[in-house]
Amino acid sequence: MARNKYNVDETLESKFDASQLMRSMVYMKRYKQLFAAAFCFSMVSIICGLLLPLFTQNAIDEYIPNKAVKSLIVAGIAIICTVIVQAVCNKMRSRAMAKAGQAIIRDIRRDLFVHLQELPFDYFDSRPHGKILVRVINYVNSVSDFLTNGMISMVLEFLSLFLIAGFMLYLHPGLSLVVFSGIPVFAVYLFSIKKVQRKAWQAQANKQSNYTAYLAESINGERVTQSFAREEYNSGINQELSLEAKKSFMKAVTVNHSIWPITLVLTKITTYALYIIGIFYFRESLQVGVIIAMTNYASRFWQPIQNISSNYNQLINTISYLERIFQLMDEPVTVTDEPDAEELPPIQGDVRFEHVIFEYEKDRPILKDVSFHAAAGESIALVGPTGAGKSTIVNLVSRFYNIKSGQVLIDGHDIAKATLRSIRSQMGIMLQDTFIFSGTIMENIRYGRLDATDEECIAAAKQVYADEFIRKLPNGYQTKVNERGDMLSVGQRQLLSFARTLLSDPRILILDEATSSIDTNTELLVQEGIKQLLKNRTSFIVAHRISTIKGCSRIMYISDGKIAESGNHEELMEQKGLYYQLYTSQLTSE
Amino acid sequence: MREIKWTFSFIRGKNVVLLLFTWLSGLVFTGLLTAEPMIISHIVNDILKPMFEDSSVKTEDVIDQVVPLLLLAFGIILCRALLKFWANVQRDEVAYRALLILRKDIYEKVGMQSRRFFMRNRSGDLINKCTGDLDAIRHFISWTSYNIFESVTMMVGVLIVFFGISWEFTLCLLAISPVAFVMAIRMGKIVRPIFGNARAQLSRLNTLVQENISGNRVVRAFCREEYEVEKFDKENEKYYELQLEGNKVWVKYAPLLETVANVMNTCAVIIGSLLVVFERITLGDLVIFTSLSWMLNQPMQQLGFMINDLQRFLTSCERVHELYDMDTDIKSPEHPVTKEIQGEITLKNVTLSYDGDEVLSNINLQIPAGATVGIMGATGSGKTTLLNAITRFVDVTKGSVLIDGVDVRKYDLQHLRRNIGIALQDVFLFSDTAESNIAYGVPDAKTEEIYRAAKDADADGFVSKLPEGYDTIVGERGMGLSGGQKQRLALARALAMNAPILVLDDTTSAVDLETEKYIQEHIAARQKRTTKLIVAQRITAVKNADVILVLEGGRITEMGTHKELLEKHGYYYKIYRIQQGLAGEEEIAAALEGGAF
Repeated sequence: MARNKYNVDETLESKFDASQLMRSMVYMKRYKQLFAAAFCFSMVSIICGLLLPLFTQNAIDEYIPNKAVKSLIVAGIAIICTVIVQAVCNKMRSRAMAKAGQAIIRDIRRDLFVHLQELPFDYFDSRPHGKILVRVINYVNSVSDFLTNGMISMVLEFLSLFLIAGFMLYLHPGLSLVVFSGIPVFAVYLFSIKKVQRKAWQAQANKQSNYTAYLAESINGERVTQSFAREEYNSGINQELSLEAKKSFMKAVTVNHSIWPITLVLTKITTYALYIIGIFYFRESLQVGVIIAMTNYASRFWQPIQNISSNYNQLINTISYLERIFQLMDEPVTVTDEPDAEELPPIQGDVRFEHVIFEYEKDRPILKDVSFHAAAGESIALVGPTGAGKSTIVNLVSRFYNIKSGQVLIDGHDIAKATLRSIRSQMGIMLQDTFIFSGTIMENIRYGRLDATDEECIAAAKQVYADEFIRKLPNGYQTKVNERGDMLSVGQRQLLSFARTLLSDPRILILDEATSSIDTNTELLVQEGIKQLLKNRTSFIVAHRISTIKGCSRIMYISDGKIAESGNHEELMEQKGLYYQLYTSQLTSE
Repeated sequence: MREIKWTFSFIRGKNVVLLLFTWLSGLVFTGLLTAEPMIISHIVNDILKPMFEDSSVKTEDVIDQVVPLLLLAFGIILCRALLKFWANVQRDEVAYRALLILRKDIYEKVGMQSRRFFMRNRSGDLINKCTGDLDAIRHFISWTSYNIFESVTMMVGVLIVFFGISWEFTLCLLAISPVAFVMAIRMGKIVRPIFGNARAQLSRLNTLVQENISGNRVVRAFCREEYEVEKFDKENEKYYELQLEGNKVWVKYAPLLETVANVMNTCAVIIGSLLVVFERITLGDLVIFTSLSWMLNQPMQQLGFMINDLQRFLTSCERVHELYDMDTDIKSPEHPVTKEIQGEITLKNVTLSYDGDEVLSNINLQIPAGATVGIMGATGSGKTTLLNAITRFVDVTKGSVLIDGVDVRKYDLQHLRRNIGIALQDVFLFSDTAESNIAYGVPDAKTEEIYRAAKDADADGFVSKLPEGYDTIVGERGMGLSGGQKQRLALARALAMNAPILVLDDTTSAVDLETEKYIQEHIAARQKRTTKLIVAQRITAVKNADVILVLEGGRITEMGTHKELLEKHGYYYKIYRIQQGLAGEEEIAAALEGGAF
């Protein structure tokens, strides 16, 4: 899989078409009543808006010459009423559109987030997290305005365009054609900037993403940056990305700003042409009133075109975001429930690997035909050099990846045919990456079992000897920690995640280098404490410390994707093989 | 006003002039707006009307008269079009230049903040401030501020014209306007806190999503997808509600403002007509009034938008400004020392406390340049804090840390840290190539240097096996690599610095023992003159050190070589026995009962 970093644009192969828009219709359809209401209110509002100039006209042409004070005031009051109706309509429209717009944002964002929960690890490992974030947060925010107000006004503008065109044709077909002649010119112009615009907005979305990605990573990795005194250098990169973002932004808005002047010039050219052509060809058949009326209509005719073209620009901009949003939604899910997946019944914890072959990338097998059987209640230590495949084995037990061939069976059930939920909810997995969520210490422990009481959480903490340090924190269990776990040492974080895992009361326990940073004393205490707990549970332990490994009922030495040696401590020592070497290397010469 | 002044302070040099010109061109633009209709009405009234009434007028003559006028009108339109285009583009340009400065300053300011700051600020919030909020400021400079300016000049201009024609009429018109302004101000007041809440809520949403992405493995491991979605839904819904709440204020006031503007317009016609009827003004005056009244009407209609935009800007500006003004407690002194560092470290009566809790108490230590020091102790005994004090990530509360006899607080901070290669306990890798990650501290390092550092950290083997070798991009936080691999990359990164001081905080905990031994030998051979501070949990990681310290509760309780410490039969000895698997059940039980830990 192609990997991405902050200064590399994410490529996207998709043609400009309405399909992105059609797809967003799915979201809009849910709120069609709101759209219908907004549309009706807009129509009423527009009609009301036409009455005021009419009133002015009447006042000048009729009421004043006739000194009709009474009808003037009556008409005036009537107009004020329509003004109020208009305001009410605008209010309703705005309310409906805000509701629909925000709801659409909410829905799209939710769908993205739900999809994120299913994407393979690889998706997260192969790009800066900021680039995922920007899609869920920033891009989504940018599309709502067009999907609501933009859409409605585009429809309305088209309506009024046809209405005016009809009036003009009725008034004078010949002169109308003069005005319409500007349209092909304008269409060619719009068409020619389409490509430029699309590229420009795409680039802008890309650069925005790059900028955010770098920013997010800078903030999350600030500790390293400060340690290596890289602030100035990074500031340079930040400025460079910022400058690139500016370039793409300016390009996009420059084209955008050109639309209004061009329409203005075209409007005026066609209007002026009306005068000249009117004088030349229609002198006999025309009255001056018709010319004046036609020029009036001409500028009214171009008004909606102007609005439509600015909507069109917004449309291109929106599509450049939409296609990235949908791209994320279309990102394939690799590990998921099979259609006929069954719930795994409550398990005993018997794990069997049968000829398992696994590769992350094609033709680079990590596990080469691994078979073993772990009876329920057994504790199995996995040792061996880094990168040999120890973590991969435990990852496959919980089906974090799909295997290439072979079978992983739990209690005789092939886990490829079981629901992920039923597998993982019966397992306690303590990963290498101890991730702490922002929130209180208590909440972090409770992550293991959501319905656990405070007492149960504290009991779990006590069992892994985390209670002591937690109590020393400023607010004890209610102390807030941030997502980087800044206040805690790595060892403390491991203890917390240990408590979290124990709380989930799993049948199968997986500890993947989970205690590497816990000091020996605590580890010893923890081991004493959970010895009881490990009883009747199957456990897989990846570790380097002999003291951790020695007590396991079986030790498997993994080397180069295969099980090289297997047996308990005494047996392996007698073999005088790889494990023996590992063990003796740890003994010092003293 | 304070925020606006602050914002405009980022427009500097020739950009001030440029922005002024674009604003002035707005005035010219307004002028041109009235010139063209005047020409056209001249054509219609004085040329076309007579032509159609009098058939003796030759068409050619009329054309001869009309064409130059139309060309003139077209020239004006062209000017107007070009001017507006130019002004719009330039305003965006100027605003973005200000944004560049703001982004740079904020990036640098956030980058130099200390632990305290990062503990208190959620990264989602910081990211949001540096993107959305900064963009709101840009929008204000390029658009909102100009919009307000244009509206005000338009209104003032048209009012002056109106006063010139009829003061009675104008006063009647103005009678309504205070209502609009009172409403506008109220709207601003009410909507402001809602905008603030909405921004803060978006930050929370941002943080939540970011955590979910970074912690995705834990989410899967605990099968907490549904719970995460539930959590997300709650925040997402709250954001939705806040946005709607903002809209509620909008739909309450904006239509009212619009109504006031339209009523004003209607009243203008009624009153104007009455004044004509009672012969206070002429019909011609009324026509001018009505034809110009949109210049009064439009700004008032837009008042709602402007208030909304302005409040949105002020909300964002406040958030950014606060961040901008944030000072940091750890920074270079005024006259920093930048002399070459040899690597001698002295701690004199060092005491360090966080919020009143003593983490280090009265530590005295003398480390000659080139020595290797092992540091052991239980979780929370102060090992990492000790390293932080030496690298000045925290300042000591009492006493002093000296490097080459100079207090670390007197050094230039950058200079100090450039002279220390640090491998942190908590490995953070950047989503960049393996090579760039290793060269993080020395971006211009030679490739051989990088490879050598990688080899010495025993990272070369697995890096070469990655799909694209050293050019493989590793996941953010090093996701996708095993703990041991991450640690070795972080170690290579520290070694590549070739600094006189090397600090390794539990850097080999996840690598196997053979690898650890290999790494130790290579570090020893490669950096003979480097002072090395090694924190570890494993005896094997420190046993060859010149001196080993044992920290307990923030104090040094044991100190000596491996041999000396074993003879002491203290903490170190016990750990040694247990780790070697030499301790029997009884010994362990005794150790546990005796409360040694």
